[in-house]
Parts: sequence; structure tokens; C-alpha cells
Amino acid sequence: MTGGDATGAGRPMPQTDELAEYLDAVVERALADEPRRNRPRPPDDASTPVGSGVPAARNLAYRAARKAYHLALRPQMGVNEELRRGVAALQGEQAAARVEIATLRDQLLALQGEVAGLELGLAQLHATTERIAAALEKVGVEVPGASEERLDAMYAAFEEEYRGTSDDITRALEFYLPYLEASPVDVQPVVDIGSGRGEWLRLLGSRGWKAVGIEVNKAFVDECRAAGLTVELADGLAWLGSAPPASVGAISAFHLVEHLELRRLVDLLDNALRALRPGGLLILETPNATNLAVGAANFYLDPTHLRPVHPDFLAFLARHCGFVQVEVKFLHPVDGRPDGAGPGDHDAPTPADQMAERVRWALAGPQDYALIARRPAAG
Amino acid sequence: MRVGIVKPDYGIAGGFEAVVDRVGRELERRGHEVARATVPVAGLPSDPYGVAVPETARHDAWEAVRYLAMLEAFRAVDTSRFDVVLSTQPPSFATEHPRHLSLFYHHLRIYYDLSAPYVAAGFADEATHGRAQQAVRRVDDRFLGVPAHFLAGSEEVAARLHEFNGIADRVSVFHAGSGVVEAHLADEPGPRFEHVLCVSRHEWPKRTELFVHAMKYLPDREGIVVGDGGRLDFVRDLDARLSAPGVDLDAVGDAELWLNRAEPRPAARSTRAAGASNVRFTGRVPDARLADLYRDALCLVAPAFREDYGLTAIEAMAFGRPVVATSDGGGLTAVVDDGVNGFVVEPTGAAIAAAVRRLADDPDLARRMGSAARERAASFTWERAMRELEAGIERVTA
Repeated sequence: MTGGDATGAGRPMPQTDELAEYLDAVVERALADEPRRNRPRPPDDASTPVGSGVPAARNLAYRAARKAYHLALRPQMGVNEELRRGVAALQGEQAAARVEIATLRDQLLALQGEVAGLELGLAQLHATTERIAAALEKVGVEVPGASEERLDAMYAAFEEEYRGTSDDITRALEFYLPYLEASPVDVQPVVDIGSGRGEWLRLLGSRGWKAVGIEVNKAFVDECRAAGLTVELADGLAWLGSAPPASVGAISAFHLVEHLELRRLVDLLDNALRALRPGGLLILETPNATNLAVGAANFYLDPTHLRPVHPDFLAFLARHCGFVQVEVKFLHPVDGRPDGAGPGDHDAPTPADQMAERVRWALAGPQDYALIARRPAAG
Repeated sequence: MRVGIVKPDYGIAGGFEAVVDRVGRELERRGHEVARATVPVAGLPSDPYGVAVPETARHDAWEAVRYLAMLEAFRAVDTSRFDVVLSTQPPSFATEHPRHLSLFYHHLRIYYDLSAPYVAAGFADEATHGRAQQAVRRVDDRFLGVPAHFLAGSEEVAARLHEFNGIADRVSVFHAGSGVVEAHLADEPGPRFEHVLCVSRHEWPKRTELFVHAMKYLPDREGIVVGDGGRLDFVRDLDARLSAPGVDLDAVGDAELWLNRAEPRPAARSTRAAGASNVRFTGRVPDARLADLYRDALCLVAPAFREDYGLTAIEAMAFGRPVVATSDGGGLTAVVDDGVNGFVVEPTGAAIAAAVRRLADDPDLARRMGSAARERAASFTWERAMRELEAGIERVTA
């Protein structure tokens, strides 16, 4: 049975002898793990279903014995020790990060006051400008500078040209549907913050999900309403802030967080958590700056982007704000390969391939990522 | 029941990952509690069982070394919180549990059904490969004794368990359903029979070479290769070479091509006329686009060697497309009935081309075979798959 009937044993060579010795040693160790003798046996009467209803006493005993076995034997492996050290180090890092965040929050509170003052001044300035503009218009002088509406239209055209056709976007968005379908709690209504041209709302509608878009760009709102979609003209953050607690099933925001300053980002997460009902779903998609082409150049194609949000930071922030089951999914690789493609079952790469894979990731890998998180089911 | 799905995590989302995901969701829908215990392949210790790995092993037998590392990891998985364990890729079948059901899709194939061609193709030295194979088969022989029952992913895989490990009495077959079949079986079949499709993850065992060779006999038809994979550069290059004027197609040896024994490529690659090929490579495409490609295809060509299952063939059939497979196509030959819903031919470019030509010349034949194909595809539902799975669970819990 074990003989190499297909390949034969081959001629003995020095290297193969070394190989054979090594393999023999490992295989002996592998085979010496005689679990059915060393490990506690399950109860003889295995027909008692375990875990359905109250477990039988002997099942409890079996589990306890298994536990004891693992506690006693596992430390030998070294792997666990390494894991424990890793976890301890991570916990340390997390504590440090918490302190940093707390400090940042304090600084932000101080800045908030200053900003409020500046905003007041700005509003006054605005009013003065408009008064002057109105006066000038009356006497027939054209006012230079772009109006809000002009900018809205410009940005709509820019999105049309650079974000891809609506069809492409719709196809990419299908990735998220299984998350809604698999959710154990009702994820309706889905509230899409910054709904833009409404591809997501349209896709949701076509699959029978109740969805509402919140959008500040009037050009987009008009376009969506003309297409029969439900969209409110409002600032998404303000809308979320005033939404009744636990009133929303899912909140999505595609390519929004990279437009927000940290304070507004934290607000977004805090308010989203509050607005979601327990178990509700949060979906955030944003450019993946660990792809070098994205981080170095493409991110800045959109002049309204502030700075890339690192996937680790966004995931950290989501957890910090109270979300659970936080997942990061890398999406839309330049070369169309499956995300994070690595070795397959029987065609895994050599170290050279692994290096190539790293380069691929940096240059032709995922251009975006999604953060998917849930409000804790209880509380 | 608490069902623990035990699985290596390769960091990819392939066809098998989709199947396991669906199985998990279906079990949850049926009121089971599903937990996942994964072993991240990237994070395995480099010296399985604490034995220092010599350079020769790390270099020439790294698949076996990694396999042993995975074995060690799966042996250490604590499954005491599960009522039933459902294991997946090898060697997760080694995970200890009294009620262990193995969803067995394949062995470490290069040491089993792919062994001889793997060596013949020059991917490994015969003596080295033989040593590694012996090691893998020794541990497999022992730990394949762990599962109380096997659900083989196809008749082909069940046959391999019998052929290589002598396991027959603990085996039943699990036919995974297909989301594509569910979504499109009710669609109106495409009225036209146009391009010739080859859909796969194009790795070496898929033998995409044969498709490209066959298409050169059919210059009036467009061939479309969908999917990515490690063998694709080789296949593209072959396509360019075979597209050059004056190539004697009958002189191209298919077995030699696949086993990397064909003539070295001509140096002057740039002399070929750009765009002269009738084969197009799309890479991976979104599901909706793939559905469009299936809808009006003439047929699907599936040239793979000893395929585990043949999911893309089933999907093409759901769209009413006949399938051309080869006599050594493994699981594919269980799906394709020669002369009924497609053709099963010799594994050569010429034989595949002749079968495609028959369909191209006779649209009525294509339509008849297409509707037989749809009937065949209709049986690949998740309903049936879950009946087979639940029967397996009953076998291990009874």
C-alpha cells in the first residue's frame, strides 16, 4: 500500500538517504501519537447525543478528561507557549493604543472648541460674501468662483468618469449580499450613507431589501429620486446622530471614511452603533492603501479624499467603539485574481513565488477593502 | 447539534471554500450550531513534530513537510466542544473525534493519482518524490482510520479511496449542489450556439493545453478561456506558438505538451502576427458575466485529468450547453454521458476538436444534447447534497 508504485523507490543517493532518514524520523513521531490509547476515550455508548438537551454525566466526564489531557500535554508542543506570548504582546500593544486614543480624544475635545470658534467666523464671512455677491449681481458684475451646485455637478461627472460604470460597481457590490442574507437578525432598513449614484440602493431594491440612501450631493439625490429610489438630502453623520436608537438594521458607507477627519469618523462609528439594533450590520468600504499604487497615487485622484484609512486602524477603531465580529475583506484586485490568493491545495508556490505574491499584492493586489462589523447581539 | 467544521485556511476563496461555506449555512438553517476550527497554513511551525528539517527536505519535498506540519496541527485541535466533527481538505481527516465525518474531496494528489504524471512532467525527481510519497502515504494509511465515515466528493474520489487506501465500506458519495444551477436552471436557454468555452482555475492538472490545441483545428470558432491559474502563462505562450502560420497541428503531441516534453519554444516569438489567435483569455470574471458567456456558448470543453468533481461542467449544463470531456477526466466522466449530453473523447486536441466540430455543424444536435444536459444538471441541488450530508451525520452519530 505505501510503496511508491507510481514512482518506484528509485536509486539510493546521498541526498535521498538524508531525506529518507528525516522523513522516517518525523513519520515515526507522527505515528507514535497514538490517540486512541493515550487520549481519554469517549463514552462507550456513543449513541447518546451529546449537547442536545442536558448532556449526560459521562459526557461531562469525558469532556473534563479531554480538557485535562489538553492542559497536561499541550504545553509540550511549544506552539502554545509561542501563542500565549504572542497574545500577551498583543494585549500590551492594545493597552498602549488605548492610552493613545484616550489622549487623542482629549486633544480633539480641545480642538473642537477652537474649530467651533472658527466655524462661527467662517459663517459670518460667508454671509458677508453672499451679501457682497448679491450686491454685485444687482449692478451686473459676474461673481467669480464656483457655487455649491456647480461643484456638486462637477463631482458627479468626476465620479462618472473615474469610479467605473454603474454596471461595474453593481457587480462588485454583489459581494456584500451574502452578509445581509446570512444575518440572523433583520437587517432592514439598510441605510446607505453617501449613497451617490445609488447603485447599492438599486441592487438592494432589486433583491427585495428595504433601503434608504442619505446623500448631501443634490445632483446625486435628484438622479436617484428620478430613478425611484428613496434618498434623503442630508448630511449622513447628522442624520445618523438624530436617528432613534436601535432603529436601523444595517448601515453601509462606501468610499466615505476616507473623506472624514478622525473626530467625524469616531462620531460615525459611535452613532452607527447607537442607531443599529442589536446584531445589526455595519459595512464600510474604502481604498486599500497597502496596495502601493493606491496608497501612493490613485488615492489622491479624488481631491476630496483626506487621507487613507489603514485597515488595521479602522478595524481597531470599530472594536474600540464597541462593534464585534469585526472582519476586514480585501477587494477588487487590479489583476482580477481572487483576493489574497495564495497557495492552493496542490499547487502552492515556492519561496520565489511567495516573494512574487508579495510584489503582486503591493502593485496589482486589492484596491479596496471592506470592514464588516456587527453591533453586539445583547445590549 | 454542535457541528465543528475543521479546515485548513489557505487564504484563498476557491470552489471548495464556497462549498464548505454553503454546507455550514445549510446546517445552520436546519437548526444545527456550526463552529469552525481552522488551521492557518501560513502560520504552521516550520519543523513538524520538532524534528530539524534538512535542506534537501525543505527544498525537494516541501509539500510533504508542510503536510506533516498540518497533520501535527490537526492532531492538536481540541474538538471536545463539538458533537460532530466535519473535516475537509487533507489532512484534516486526522482530527480526533468519536463522531467524525470526513467531507473528502481529494488526497494530496501529487502523491496519489497525479504522482506518475507529476514525475514524468519533471516537477520532481523520481527517487525524492518516491520517498516523500511513502512518508505521506504511511501517515495517511494510519490517520484515514480516524473518521467514522467518509463523504467522498464524487464517484471518482470514492474510487480513489478504494484504489489507494482500500477504504470502501465507510464511504458514501456527496454531490455538492451548485448556486449557479439554482440561479439559472429556470432561465430560457440561449438560442445561439457560438463560442467554445473552457472555464477553470488553470492549474497543471486542468490540461488547458488540449483546449488551445483543439481550437486551432477550429479557426472559424472563437475559444474563450475563463479563469486564472499558475499554468496560464504556459498556455498563453502555447496559444501564440500554435497561432503562427504553417504549424503542423497533427505533429503536436498532447501528452508531451502536458508533460513539458514538447520542443523548446521558438526564439522569435515576436514574429507572430498580433491578434491572429482565435482564443481569448478573460481571466476571472464576475458571476453575471460568466452567466452571459455560458448562455450562448456552443459547448464547454473540460480537458482536465482525473478531475475531482467537475462543477463547471455541471454549471455549463444548467445553461443547456453540452460538455466535451476526456476519457481520463475522472469525475467529469460521471457527469458527462457520451453521446447524450456531450462527448467523452480521447485526451487529444484533435479528438476534442472533432467533437466540437460535430456540435458546430449540427445545431439540432447541440440543442438536443443541451436539453439533456439541463436535465442532468437539475439533479445537482443543495437539497440532495444536504440529504447526503445528513445521512452521513446519521451514520457517525448512530
